[in-house]
Amino acid sequence: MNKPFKRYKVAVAGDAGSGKTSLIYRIMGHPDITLVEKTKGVFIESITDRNIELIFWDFSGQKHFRDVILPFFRGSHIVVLVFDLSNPQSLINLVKEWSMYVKQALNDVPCIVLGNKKDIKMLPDDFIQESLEEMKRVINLRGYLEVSALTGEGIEIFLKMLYDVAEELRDKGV
Amino acid sequence: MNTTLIEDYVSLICPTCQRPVRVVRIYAPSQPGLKLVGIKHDDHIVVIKFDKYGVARDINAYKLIDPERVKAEHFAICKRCKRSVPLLFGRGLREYAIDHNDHFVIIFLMGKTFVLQVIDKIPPIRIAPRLNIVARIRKEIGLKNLAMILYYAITEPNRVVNIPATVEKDLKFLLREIFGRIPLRLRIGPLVELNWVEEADFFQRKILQVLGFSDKEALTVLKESVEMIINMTESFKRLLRKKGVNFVCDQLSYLKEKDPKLFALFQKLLGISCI
Repeated sequence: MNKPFKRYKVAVAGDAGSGKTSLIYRIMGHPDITLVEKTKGVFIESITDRNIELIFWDFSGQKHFRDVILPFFRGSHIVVLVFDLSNPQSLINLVKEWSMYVKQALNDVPCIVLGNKKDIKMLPDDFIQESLEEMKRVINLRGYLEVSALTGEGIEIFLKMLYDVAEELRDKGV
Repeated sequence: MNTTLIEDYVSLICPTCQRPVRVVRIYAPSQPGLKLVGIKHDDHIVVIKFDKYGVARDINAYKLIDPERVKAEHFAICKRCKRSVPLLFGRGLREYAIDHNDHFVIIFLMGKTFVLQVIDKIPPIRIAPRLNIVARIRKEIGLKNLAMILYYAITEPNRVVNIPATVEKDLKFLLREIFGRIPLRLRIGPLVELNWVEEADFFQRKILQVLGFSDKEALTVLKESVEMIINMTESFKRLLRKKGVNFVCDQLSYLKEKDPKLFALFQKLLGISCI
């Protein structure tokens, strides 16, 4: 029997320059992600598979937009937190700031953490693992993946993980 | 009146002590990638990220630790000068900086692991503080009137607005920088107090945020804030067409709770009324 159609809001957040919009462009099949510009506010795109529509809310990571974008976190069913594998501050800020925003606005919503720019990775694995452990104390961390929006590496696995989480929500009647 | 944007320095507000930080403008070699430079600021350092256009895109501050005054059990080696760097695990510090004369080392700690980042050091510059273009206009016409002008530029383009001659050059320059054109019909004449509406509160907040910045940074933040409102409005209009008014009102309901004045602005721009 066909499962019912569901629509879920997916918040994509993280520091400016971590490559959130490039990831969405890659998922949407844009031919040239080097054309991506800084996100001004929120960029909204959607994809449908397995009879589930995922609406991506790609939030600007710039500090001067923070007051505007945070209220739109509310109502998200899944959160994707993105950091730059070549920038330690972007990971620290996921632990210190973005995890807290998620906790405050969404409490126990499932989260996936993405380390982007795998092609220029600089952060050591043990540092990343410790950071993820810290985040687990605050958010409902469902998975971690390293991807490259530039080369496309890891994007398919990420989408599968995302849809698996969405299917679980549907099965739970969310 | 000076409206040039050829500034060879940057002025920002330190996130730790709220005092101004002034440094020479730096240009990152290319995109992607930002050039990071550090400035000593009393007991902390300020790290500014510049893009290839010389615009300061981000500012962070880190506590400065004197390695002579701390006892450490673990050390790392600075990649640039090979001096030892104390790792202060278990002291509630997640990030701090060490001064290595011509560069800073920033230490990021997580549990028992660490990452070092070497940042070029540049000296602060001493210049007499001056009002930026936004602060000059605000001084002439007032905060609320300037916020209303930005509000009308988005909601009622071509509206006639009286402005004093003393502010004409600066205001036209500001509007061109933000909108790429002058979206209002500015008439020289006695300033008539513009009737304040709460929907303009967002612009008032943004103006206050940039008063201590240099011209380029102030105009960049204002421009991007206006673009953000326009982009978000376009996104919501698309959602209105695709999913209907109830869906959009549902999304905006969180904003209504958190920021009712910004909520009112979006209602106005979308031409909807959410109950």
